[in-house]
Amino acid sequence: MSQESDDTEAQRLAKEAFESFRNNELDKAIDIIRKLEPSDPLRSKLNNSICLYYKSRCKDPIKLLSTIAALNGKEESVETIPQCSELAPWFSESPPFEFAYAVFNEAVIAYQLHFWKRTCVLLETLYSHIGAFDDSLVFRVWLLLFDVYLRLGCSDKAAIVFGFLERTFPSVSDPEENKDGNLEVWGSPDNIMKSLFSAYPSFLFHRDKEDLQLLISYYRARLYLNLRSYKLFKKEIKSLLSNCEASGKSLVPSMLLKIRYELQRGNTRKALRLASNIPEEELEAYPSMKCILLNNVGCLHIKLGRQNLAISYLSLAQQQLSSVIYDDSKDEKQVRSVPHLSLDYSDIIAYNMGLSLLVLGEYERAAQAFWKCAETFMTSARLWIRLAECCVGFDAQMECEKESKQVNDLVEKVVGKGSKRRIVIHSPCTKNRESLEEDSKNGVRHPKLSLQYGAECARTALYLLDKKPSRPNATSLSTNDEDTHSEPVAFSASATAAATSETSNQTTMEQPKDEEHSVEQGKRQGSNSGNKSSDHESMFDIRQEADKNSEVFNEETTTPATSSTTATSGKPTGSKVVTGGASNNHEDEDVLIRESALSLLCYCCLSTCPEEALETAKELMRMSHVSPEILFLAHLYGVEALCSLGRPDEALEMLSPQILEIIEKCSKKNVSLGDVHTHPWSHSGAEMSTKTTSPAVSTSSPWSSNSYSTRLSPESNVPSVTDSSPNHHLHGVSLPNYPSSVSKGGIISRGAIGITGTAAFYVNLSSVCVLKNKLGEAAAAITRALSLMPRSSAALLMSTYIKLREGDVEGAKDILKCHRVTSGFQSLQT
Amino acid sequence: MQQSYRKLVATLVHIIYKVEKPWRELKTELEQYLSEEQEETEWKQLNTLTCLSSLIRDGLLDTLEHRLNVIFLLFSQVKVETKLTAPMLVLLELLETRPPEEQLILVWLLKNKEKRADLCSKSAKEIVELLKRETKAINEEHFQNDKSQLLELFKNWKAQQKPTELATISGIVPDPVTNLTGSPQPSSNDNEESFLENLEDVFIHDFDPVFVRPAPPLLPLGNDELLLIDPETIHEVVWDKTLCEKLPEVEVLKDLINKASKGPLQPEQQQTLISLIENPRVLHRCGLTPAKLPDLVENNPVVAIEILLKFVSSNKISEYFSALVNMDMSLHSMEVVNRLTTAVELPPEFIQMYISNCIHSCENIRDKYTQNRLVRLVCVFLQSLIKNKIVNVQDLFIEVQAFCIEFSRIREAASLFRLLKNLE
Repeated sequence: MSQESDDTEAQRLAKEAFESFRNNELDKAIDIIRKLEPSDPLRSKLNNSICLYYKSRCKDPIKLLSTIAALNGKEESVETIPQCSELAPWFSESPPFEFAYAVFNEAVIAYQLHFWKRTCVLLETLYSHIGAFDDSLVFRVWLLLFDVYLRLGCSDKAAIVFGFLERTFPSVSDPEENKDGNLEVWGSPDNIMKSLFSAYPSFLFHRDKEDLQLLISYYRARLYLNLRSYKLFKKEIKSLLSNCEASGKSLVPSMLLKIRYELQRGNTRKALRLASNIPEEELEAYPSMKCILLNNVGCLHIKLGRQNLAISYLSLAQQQLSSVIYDDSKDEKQVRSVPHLSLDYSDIIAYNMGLSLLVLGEYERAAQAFWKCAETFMTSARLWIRLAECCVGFDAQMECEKESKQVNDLVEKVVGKGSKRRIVIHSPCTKNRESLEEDSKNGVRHPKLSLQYGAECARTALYLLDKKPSRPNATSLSTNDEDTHSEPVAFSASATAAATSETSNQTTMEQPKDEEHSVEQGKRQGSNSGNKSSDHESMFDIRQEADKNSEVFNEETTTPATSSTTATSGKPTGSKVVTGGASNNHEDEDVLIRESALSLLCYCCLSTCPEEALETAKELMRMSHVSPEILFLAHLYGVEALCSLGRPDEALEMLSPQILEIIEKCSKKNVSLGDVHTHPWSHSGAEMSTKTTSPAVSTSSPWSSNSYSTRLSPESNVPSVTDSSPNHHLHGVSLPNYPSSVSKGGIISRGAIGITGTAAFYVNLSSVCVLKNKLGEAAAAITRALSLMPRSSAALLMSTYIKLREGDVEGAKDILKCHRVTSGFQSLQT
Repeated sequence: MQQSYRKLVATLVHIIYKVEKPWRELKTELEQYLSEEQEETEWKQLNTLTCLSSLIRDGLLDTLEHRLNVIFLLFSQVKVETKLTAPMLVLLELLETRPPEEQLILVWLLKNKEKRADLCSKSAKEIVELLKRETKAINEEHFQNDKSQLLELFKNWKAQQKPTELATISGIVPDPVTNLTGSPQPSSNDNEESFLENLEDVFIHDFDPVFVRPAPPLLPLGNDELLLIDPETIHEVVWDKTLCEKLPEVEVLKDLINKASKGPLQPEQQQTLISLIENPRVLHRCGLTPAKLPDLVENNPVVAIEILLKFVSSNKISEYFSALVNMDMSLHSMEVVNRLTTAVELPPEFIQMYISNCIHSCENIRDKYTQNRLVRLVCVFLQSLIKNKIVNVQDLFIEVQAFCIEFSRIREAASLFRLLKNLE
């Protein structure tokens, strides 16, 4: 009897402590908790540290994390807690009923510190026993898990948990539903949180019923958008906007979704109009929303090809972000609070910035931006492709700068006087590249953007692609198109889980690819590099990290939580069938990424390891679906590799029949594409946007001119329409090219081999013929090249070379003199 | 041109211009110069070779005497005539390209010891005179044989080289200033100083066949590569509301579940248990793991059904289903499955697997009586599933048909067979 009354008294005190806590009377709450220690020591300890955490205005989570670690049976230092990926034994062996709040709180802090995988593991453990918890915790677990899934790009899993919410809390998820009404979600000192996030749209933060309903509606709209279920999204966002308007809530979050919707539908200009319609005063009231808007508008400008404008917006977004997260009032820059860190989107902004800079040809700055976000996106193949592109672009730019000294001039210099005067021909021979290597040793060249590093990046991308588990049967999925590509937010390995039915029905799940095989392959690729620099060691670490990441996610298949992610068709939200993107898109994208990685690797290896370049070129040629322009490049690269390996016979064989078919195929494709796109996101012009002497022939040499390279300038905000080569479109996205004339070899545009490519083919054919001592055929090939591009320096040099080989010194001199227009012109007149 | 290199060129030109001195002396002079500073010998040797080969290869020497001096100086760098060292290779290349009189000297130097000794004692001027006298030697078989042998040697060496290496030519084209008629202006001054002044620089510049290497295009912007941000709610650390919370019902329920797994419960116990599981928080802590389910099904199928129906919306239900499928077939398990099929929509895979399991169990029972009993049960169960359209007949047609034929002696099997035929 006395035990029972003790229990009742303890429960009364516990309730009182909670009320004090909620009312921000933290000292009082701590006093009461002390009294409760004998009856419930562990939870008292936890709540005590929660009070202290709030007393520090959420700035110092150390005490709290230490308490959680102690509850977890661990005596580890606080710093290691967020990184630790394994769960303590009691977690995995028995359900975490007793310390569910401790687990949840750790998940919250892990999320705020951007340890999303850790958060995900913790929450999935809770979610697998969700029925055992009170509604308030269930709702919070759901809400956080949903956000984490979207951050990890797992929209299909988010759909599953959303379906669960709708079943569990019909009153919150549907305003029309009136039965079993009250969901009490309060659990933190309201005043403290309100003061910390005073400038945050209320319905995203407050927990009363009306706000919760708006929040759920907003989350539903987010889900539909991520699942690309546009009809449902439109309906939902319309109702959300009207409800927000009716209740006087901020429209900014909903408008941001609408902007994304318009972008996804390809209505970029409409999206931009919507963005500009958001009232300035609302943005000033919500600084974090302003930061998000600036980033999103930056993305719109990237899509519109206005890279300079995009960079301006993204820089502003970054500045705005700093003011949101950091307290500027003090001398030292301090984070406002731990929850504020969850608003830190600097990695996302950096990635977008990197894309813009890459298109602008600011390769070093682009690489800096990508490196900044590499930790977040390191398991995304795209990030590594972009870095490899920076290296290739940088290499081409360096070549171009070297060549710019002799624009339109085949003569390097003239030496000697009188009868001893000699012309020194500018020779782009590979041996002369040694000087560049020397430059790099002397620190002239950015060592990190070397071709070796580029090759490593491309290899890493390939490794990640190989590791990516094969997708479950596409027909059984009616989910999203988002999971791996929406954000290159890494963790692509996690994207395998299939959707589930609303009744959580079960089937067997397709297993990911054999892990060991991928690891071996990765190691093999790593060892191929033959480079022992620290960059490359760190790259291997990244691969190992990627292994770990995917292991964590592969483990998911064995955890109870994700065992529910395995069923038939995805009907995550009641009877509302969500239609999703086609898996074909994924396959297309995967093929594009693979071919891009291989072509970049091949390019990088040509200077360093022709054997690997040849192997890579052959791999590209073996691919069943490969873009014609990439196939064309594979042939060109393969031929060059074969020649440098001393196998011109094979090179000639590789060059002759197939490549003409590819050119023909590509030109047919161009005819079928038909239009010239006026707003490619590569505004700086694509492949050799040059003046022409005849309608069909470019006049400016792609291999020598750098006059079209674009730099940050106000004028270039306006998208250029000088791009004469049709840009290839994929999923409604026009494709970028390197800024023109950055490569001595020029750039092959997506979907267009064009005159440049064809001329390149004839020049290389001529070189192979020379190596085979077939000077006549070489001369014929170079005539074809010159007929296509009469001022191509490569073709003219080759023509000079052939004349010299034929002993026609006067003929060679004629070519050199006819194209000598710069300073040395006078001295060459006879 | 660097000062040291300039000095080297001047020294070499100075030696080359000594056309009246015997070659032996020129050799000594060159060797003296090369060995002057020990630490620079290697650099000097390399650049001497560069300078000499460049002077003759690029046609910078107008007079035969000077050219012959260069040939001899190059030869003086050859240590062993049979070894294809760099100076040797330069000489062999000259043998291929130079005029006949120079070829003759080259062959004599490289193949004819007597002639070589004789030539070394002569000056360039004397050798030119000698050549004038012995022009017919060019057509002699002996010379041609020696020349062919040397060229063969060079050819063999070339066969081992990469075509790219062999394709390299000099990237320096002579372009003497011409007069108004277009013919080259004759060198006004033939002395050493003016030669050096006009020369300006001497170097080797290779010219290789050009390979155009266009860079690959940028990877197209991915479907969702542009990272737009959606605002999220604020997630906060929350108070543990289970502080001092006691759930005495959990212990009662655990006790009852244990009892129910061991034997049939009394009706009132059963009633208590069913009322307790109404509270999901208590239900989820009842301690019934999938491993314990078969015992519960066998001893208290009604309780098992009630619990499973409560668990059906939980994430754990799949584990309970698989425990049910894999347990031994019995009347009770069939009763549980049958009730479940009517109450909730079960995954078709689960039902199919259960039916297959039942059929196999029937086939494997030895005792005829028990087998007949079970077959009847299975047939009735299947008929119920088919009539209620819970199972798609087509998915199991062959297996069930074979089962019916095997047990056609049993009335229920025959009627199931008829049902199948009707549906077909």
